[in-house]
Amino acid sequence: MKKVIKKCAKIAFITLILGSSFSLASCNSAASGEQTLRLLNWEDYIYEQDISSGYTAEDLVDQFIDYVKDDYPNVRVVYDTTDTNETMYNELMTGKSQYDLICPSDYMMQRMLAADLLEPIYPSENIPNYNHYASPTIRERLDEITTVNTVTGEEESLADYAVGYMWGTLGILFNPEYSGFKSEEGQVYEDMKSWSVLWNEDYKKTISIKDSMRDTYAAALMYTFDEELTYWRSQYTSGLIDSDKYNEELTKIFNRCDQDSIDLISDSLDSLKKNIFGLEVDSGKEDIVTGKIGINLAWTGDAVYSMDQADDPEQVSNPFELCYAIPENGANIWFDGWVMPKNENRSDDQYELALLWLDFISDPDNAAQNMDYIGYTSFIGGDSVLELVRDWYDYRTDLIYYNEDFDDDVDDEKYEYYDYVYYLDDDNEEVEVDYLDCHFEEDSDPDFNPVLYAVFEDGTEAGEIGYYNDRLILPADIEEVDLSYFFKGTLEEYSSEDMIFYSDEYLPYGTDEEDNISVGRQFYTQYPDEETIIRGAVMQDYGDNNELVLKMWEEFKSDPLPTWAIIVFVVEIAAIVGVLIWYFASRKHRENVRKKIKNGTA
Amino acid sequence: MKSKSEQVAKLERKKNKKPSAIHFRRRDLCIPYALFMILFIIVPIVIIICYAFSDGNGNFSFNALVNFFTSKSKWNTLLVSLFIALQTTIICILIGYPLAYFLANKKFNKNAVLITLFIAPMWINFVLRTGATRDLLTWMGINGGNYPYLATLIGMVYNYLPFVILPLYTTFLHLDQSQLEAAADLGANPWQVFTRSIIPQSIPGVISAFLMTFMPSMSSYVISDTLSEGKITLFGNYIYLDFTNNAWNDGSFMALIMLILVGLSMLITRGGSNQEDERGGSGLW
Repeated sequence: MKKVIKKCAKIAFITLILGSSFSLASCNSAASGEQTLRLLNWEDYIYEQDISSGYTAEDLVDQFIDYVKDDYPNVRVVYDTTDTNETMYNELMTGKSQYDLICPSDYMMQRMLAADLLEPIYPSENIPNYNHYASPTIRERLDEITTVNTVTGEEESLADYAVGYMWGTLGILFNPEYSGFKSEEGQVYEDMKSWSVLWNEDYKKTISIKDSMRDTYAAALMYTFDEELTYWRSQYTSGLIDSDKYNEELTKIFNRCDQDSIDLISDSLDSLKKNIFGLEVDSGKEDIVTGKIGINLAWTGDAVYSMDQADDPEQVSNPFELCYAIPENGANIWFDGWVMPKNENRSDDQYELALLWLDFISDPDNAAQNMDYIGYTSFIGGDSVLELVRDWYDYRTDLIYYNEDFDDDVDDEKYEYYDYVYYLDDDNEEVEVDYLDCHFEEDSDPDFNPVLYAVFEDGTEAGEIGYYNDRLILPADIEEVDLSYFFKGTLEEYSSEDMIFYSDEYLPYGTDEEDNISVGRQFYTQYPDEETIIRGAVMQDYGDNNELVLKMWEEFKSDPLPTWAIIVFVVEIAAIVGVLIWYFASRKHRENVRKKIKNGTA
Repeated sequence: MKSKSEQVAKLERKKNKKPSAIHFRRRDLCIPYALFMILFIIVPIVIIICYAFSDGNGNFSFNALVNFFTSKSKWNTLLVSLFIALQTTIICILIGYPLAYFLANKKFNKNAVLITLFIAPMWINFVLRTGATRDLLTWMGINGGNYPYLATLIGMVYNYLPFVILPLYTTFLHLDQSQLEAAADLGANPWQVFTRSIIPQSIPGVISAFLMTFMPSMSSYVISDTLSEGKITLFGNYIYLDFTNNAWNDGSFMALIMLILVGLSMLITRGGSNQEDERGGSGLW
C-alpha cells in the first residue's frame, strides 16, 4: 500500500512539473507579446475558405490576423463553435470559460446581462464601423432590449453590451404546389397569411414544426391571441395608432408568459399536435425539398437554404418554387449578436483586440463576404452589401450582366459576367450601358433600338448580345422594392434611388393592398419590407417564468400511452409473470417427484 | 491464492534483485483501469447524485425528487419508455430466437456467412442507419407522422436485433447435443425435446439478450426522435430536454432514476442466470 502511495506521489510530481512548465511557457509567450482572442460562435456562421465551392479568399479569421498584423504581430485566434444558446450560457455559468466574445441570440444576451455575466463594450463609442454601417432600423430594435441586472439592481440596455451580427424572422416555409394539401388552388397563399394555417385541417399531417420550446411557443402564442393581434392591426392600418405604438402593443402580447396565458397556449399546442406531421430541429429544411412535408416552421437562413436547394436542378430532378410567409398579424424577429463575457484576467490588449474584431466584421466588405457564405442576413448595410443584394436579387443584373443563356441553361461555363456592355452611337463611339438603365415597357422608345455589344471579365469580346430594347425592358411582374429602411444612412457611393430594387420575388399574393406583403421568395425572406419589420416582435427572455414555460413544454412533449398500448402492456406483463410462476411451480413439482422417486428406490 | 508461475517469477526476481528506482509489479497494471473507472464512472455518478439532490444555487434540497414524483408528464414518459423497451425486447426475442437456432445449425449457415449478414448492420453507425430507415419507411408509407409507434418499433427492432441474435447464437452453438439425443431416445417427441431440453438450455442466452436489448432501448434517444418525427418522447429525450433548458437538477434526478432502473433489471436477471449457470448453461455474461 505504501508503495502505491509513493507511486502516486511520483506521478503527481511529474504532472506538477509538466503542468508548471506549460504554464511557464504560456507566461513567457505573453511577455513576448503574443495575444490570444477567444471567440465562440455558432456552427457554419462565419466565412471560411472553400475552394471547391468557389470561395477562394482565405478564412475571415485569417484575414483578421493579417488586418491587425501591424499592431499585434503575434495574434492567435481561438475560434470555437457550439449549437445552442443554452450551452453558451452554461459555459459562462460554470465560470471556466475564457472567451472574449460569444455570439448568443437576443433573449440569451438579455439573460446573461440580467445575471451580470457581461462586460460593457459601448459600441457607439468603440466600434466605428458598426456605428456607421449597421442598419439603424434593425440596430434600434436590438438596442431597445433592456433588463434589470439582478446583481447591481440597475436597469441596463443591450445597446451598451451587444454588437449585432445577423438577424432574421421566424416564418412559414411552404410548397404552394404540394400534393398533400386539401385546400383549393390559390387558397394556399391566402391561408399562409395567418398562423392559423398550422391548425388548419386542410394541411393536416403536412406540417413540421420546431422541436424547440421558444419557437413553437411563439407560433402558438400568435395563434392563441390572434383576436387581440387583429384588433391592434386594424387600429394601425386605419391610422389610429402609429407604428411605434403598434409594435409596442405587439411586443407586449408577444412576451406573455404568465400562468393564464401559458394555459391557453398549452391548449392550442395540444390541438396543434394532432394536426402536424412532426417536430424537427434540422431535418425540416431537407424534408420540404424531398417532399416529405409541405409546410415547415423555419428561420430565415434555413428557409433560404431550402429554397435554393429546391431551385437547383443539380439537387432535385424537378426544381420547384418554395415560398416563405411572414403572417400578417405578427411575427417573431430575432437577432444574434456579439457580447463580451466578464473575465477578470482579460488584459487591455485583449479587450482592444476584441473591439478590433467587432470593427473588422462590421466592415461592409467583410459583412458581404460573410453573408454570401452563410446565407443569413447581416446587421450591416453599406455599399458592398447593397451590391451583393443587387447581384442576388435584382432582376436588372440578369438582363444585362449575365450571359444570354443564363436563365434557361444552368451550365456553369456560361454563368459569366459581362464586364462592360455598350452600343455604338451615330458617330460610332462606344456608349456604356449600365444595368440600372433598365425601364418598363411603357417608358421605352421604340425608335431607339441599337445593337448591344459586351466584353467579358477577362477582356475577350462577347460580340453582339441583343438589341437595346430586348435586353433593357423589364417584364410586367417586376416590382419595385424599397429597402431604404434598411440601407438609409449606411451608403457612400450610392444614393437613395439605389435603395430601390427591381424584383419578381416579392409576391403580394391574395392581398388587395399592394403594399401589404406577407409572402415571398428568397429576397423577401432575407430582406422583408418595412411593414413586415414593424409587425415583427422581439421575444424576450421568460425570466422567472422560464420554469413554467418549460413545464408546459415538457407536458406538450410527453403523451400518455394510448389505450391499446396500455392493454398490450398489461397483457404482456401478466403473461410474463404467469409464465414465471408456472415455471417455478412446475420446477418445484418436478423436484418433489424426483425426491419421491429417489426415496422410493432407496 | 498465488499461482505457480507467479511464485516462480517472484523467486526469479529475488535472485536477480538489482537496485532500481521503480519497482514494477504486476498489480500495478491495474492502475490505468482503476484511474479510468474513477474518472469516467465513479466521479460522474457522484456528480449526478450531487446535482440530483441540490437546487439551482447548489444547496441541498429534495426539489428534484418532489418534482419527479409529482409530475404526471414525467411518469407518462417513463411508462412510454418502458412500453417501447418491452415491446422491442419481446419482438426481438420472438424473431431472433428461431433465427439464432437456424443460424447455429451448420446445415443452414455454411461458413457463418448468414450470421455475418445479420450482424453487418452493426458496423454502420446507427444514426446514419436510422436516417436511412426513416427514408425507407416513408417510401413504404409507414411514416412517423402518421404511425409514430409503429415506425419507432420497426426502427428499434431493426437496430437491436443483432444484440439478440448474437448471444442466442453463441448459446445455441454450445447446445448439449447428447442431451437432446438422450431426450429423444427416452421417448420425448420433438415438441417435448424443445420445451424440456432446448428451452432450459437456452435460458441464459435469452437473459443476456434481454439485458442487451431492454436496457439500451429504454434510454435510446435518436431512434425514437427521428422515426416518430419527435412525437414520442422517451426518458432519454426528457433528460436531454431538461439539461438543454437549464434544469440540471431535474435532469440529474431522472438520470439517477434511469441508473437505478438499469441496476434493478440487472440484479433481477442476474439472480436467474446464476441459477442457470449452475446447471451448465452458457451466456455472454
